[in-house]
Amino acid sequence: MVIKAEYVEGNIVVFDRESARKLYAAGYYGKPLGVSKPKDLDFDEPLVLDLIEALFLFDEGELKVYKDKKELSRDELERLGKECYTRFDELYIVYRDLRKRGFIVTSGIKFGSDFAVYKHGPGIDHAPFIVQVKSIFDEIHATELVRAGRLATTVRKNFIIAIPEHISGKVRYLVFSWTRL
Amino acid sequence: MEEKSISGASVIYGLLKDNGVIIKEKSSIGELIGRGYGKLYDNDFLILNEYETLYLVETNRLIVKTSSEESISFNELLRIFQSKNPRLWILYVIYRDLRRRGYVVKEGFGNDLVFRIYEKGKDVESYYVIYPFFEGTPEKMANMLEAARQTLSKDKQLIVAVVERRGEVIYYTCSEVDLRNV
Repeated sequence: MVIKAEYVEGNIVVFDRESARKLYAAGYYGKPLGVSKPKDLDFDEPLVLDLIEALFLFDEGELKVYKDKKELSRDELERLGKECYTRFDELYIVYRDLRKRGFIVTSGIKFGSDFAVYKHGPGIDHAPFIVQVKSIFDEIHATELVRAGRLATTVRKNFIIAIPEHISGKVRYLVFSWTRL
Repeated sequence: MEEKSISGASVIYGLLKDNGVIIKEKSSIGELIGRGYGKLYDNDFLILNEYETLYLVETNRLIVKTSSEESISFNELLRIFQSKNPRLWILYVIYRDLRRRGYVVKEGFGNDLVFRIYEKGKDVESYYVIYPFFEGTPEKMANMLEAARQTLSKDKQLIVAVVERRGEVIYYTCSEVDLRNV
């Protein structure tokens, strides 16, 4: 059954409680509103998705999004994504690639990165790995590398830079680990 | 008469040429090769590159002279080498740090993969390849990807050596992965 959600100022919100629980259980999609670390699936709050997750679920045929009671097309959803986030295309390509590989992908904002990626899910894995998305045309500063490396070392996980290729949709991953040599 | 350096080892004499510093004395050549310095030519003489020269001079194991028998100080050598290589000092900082960690450091592959290193006493195919990364000079992702690809194709491990503003070096392994083993 396709789940219905509402577009609300840059967020995609699933208000129906059963649908919200189902979607969250299906792969830790979204976050129950105001709940930092949901303990189980018995939450009553609406589920808030970001536009990257929403577009992925739309593409998978799992989600329909409505704005002002009108169903949004893929183009409209993508356009809203680009309006709300810079680098939306790159973030989406990487998000999709990671999800298609079977990972649980959540926001990396708490780690100062684009994504936190789990094998099994938050609270189950010991720690996520931390993914920063960069375009092939981007530059990286030494301070970025050291900062991310320091953080990844603290949480005992690797720091990964994901570099998407727009045309092929392929993503290349560089993993960095601090070493004593 | 044989001189002794501060560390007690024999002092080696070298002659400055355009392509490096030449060592002709047989016992010195043997000692340097044993410690992983220089390139041997025609089984007759050894040439030290600029990093090796600076390190050996800095550690009082080498005295470099001109063809007119004048000794050249570390600072003068640095200035001479820098005139040919604008990245010399910063790469020397990495070379020196690696040597002090006990690695033998050899020239790498091209402009980005500056050094290859192996552990002292293990004179085998080097495993690590060094990519310098200076604080204040951003690196292009495309260059870093290419370095990772090249290193992998040579079956070696890429090490990014981040040199901070005051010369401390921080090392990161960098590999392209398909995420199956992360």
